[in-house]
Amino acid sequence: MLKIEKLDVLNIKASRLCLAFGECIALCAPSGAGKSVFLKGLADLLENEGRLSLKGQDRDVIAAPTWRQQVTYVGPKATWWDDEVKAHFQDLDWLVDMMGRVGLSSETVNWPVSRLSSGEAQRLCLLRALEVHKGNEVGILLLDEPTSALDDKHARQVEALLLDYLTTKRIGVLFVSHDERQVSRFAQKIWRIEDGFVVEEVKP
Amino acid sequence: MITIGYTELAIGSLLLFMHAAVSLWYRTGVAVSLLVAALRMVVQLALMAYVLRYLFVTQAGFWTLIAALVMIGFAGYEVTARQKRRLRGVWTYGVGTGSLFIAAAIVTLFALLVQIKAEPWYQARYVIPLLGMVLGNTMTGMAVGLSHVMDVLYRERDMIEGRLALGHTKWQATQTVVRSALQTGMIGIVNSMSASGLVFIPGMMTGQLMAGADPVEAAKYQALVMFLIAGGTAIGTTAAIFLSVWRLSDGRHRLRLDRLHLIK
Repeated sequence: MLKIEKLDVLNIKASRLCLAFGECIALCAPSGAGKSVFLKGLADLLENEGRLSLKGQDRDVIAAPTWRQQVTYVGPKATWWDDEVKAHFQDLDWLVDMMGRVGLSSETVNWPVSRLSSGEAQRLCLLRALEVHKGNEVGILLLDEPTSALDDKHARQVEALLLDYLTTKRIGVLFVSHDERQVSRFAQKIWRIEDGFVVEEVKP
Repeated sequence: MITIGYTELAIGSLLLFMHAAVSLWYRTGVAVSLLVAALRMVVQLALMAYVLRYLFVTQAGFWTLIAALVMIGFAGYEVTARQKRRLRGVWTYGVGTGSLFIAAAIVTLFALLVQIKAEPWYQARYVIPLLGMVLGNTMTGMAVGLSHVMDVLYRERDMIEGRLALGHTKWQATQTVVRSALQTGMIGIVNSMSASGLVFIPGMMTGQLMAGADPVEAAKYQALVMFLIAGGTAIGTTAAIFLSVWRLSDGRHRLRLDRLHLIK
């Protein structure tokens, strides 16, 4: 599990929180409360202080890139570093297979990224992060509004795919969503940010 | 060599005053900076001439070194002055001047010891003009490359952070930015090498021709100087770009744009 013993990232604080593999938690707070900052802090993308550990291994003894291959942040905006979709993936067979599961046509692989709609781009960015986890036994996904550009049908497909990973206890998910129905149907627990402190709320 | 008198020189500057008049009439705002730059140029060249005259006579290696360091310092300042986004703290000048120093020192020493082989090798007659030519050109390439790397690191921060988030190292994540900055920094020297001899005769060769040198000898000298300038630009630009990326990221492979600030 991902254990947050103490964390302070840009004045967003948390202590004694756990995210187990197989667990799905929603991070809820109004806009500007620091949800993205907290997620980026967990991925060690922003300067932070505190103690984090994964499977009992302290963050400080793990090289940052290795940490992020296990605790992976997926931002709300799709980003690309090459003109072609396929240049962002290693295993194209795996990709085509996964694309089918989230309602993406297999032709999309051969497209330039400029042709992607925001919904297609968002799903591909999620798959890109999942591909990083392909070789891992377990891992954590930090999803910043993962379905914000998707319609209800596609959002549910994404949830179903993640649920598959969750039930086999291969990943733990911490996600931000402004869709209350999604939070109530998909999250097992809720973390809220209150006055700069991340606290756990037990779902009634 | 035909010497020119001060009267002829003054007449030469008339063209400048003509443009200053036009610029004043249309209030382009160029007049003042044009005249200031012209005045600076005259004063600086005159100073340099007297310094060189002194150095040529005394043959003092120590003072030649001081003159060289002063030149590098000014060049470093010029590089930094052209940056819109700058590193905070001493790094502002550190990166520019440091890279310039490395590039200029390597290239100039290489030329003095390996190609020119004057006796003694540290004669001001060779050191100062060579260093000047290398600095002038390296400075331009570096200023362009540095501006590019700072601007693009800032503009592409989401992309870079996205790659870092996938577990890429800081060098992988900034690869596209470094590549384009390296290209941009070298464009100037590539263009000027391609055009020299066809479109223009470079300044140094012009000087030697007018001083009565054999054209073939002058061309050889010019080619050597072009190699040195290209080498200096490559070393300086590369060093400056990698230093910037190194400074704008940290040991935990995070992008540290908080170490950058915008000059208005």
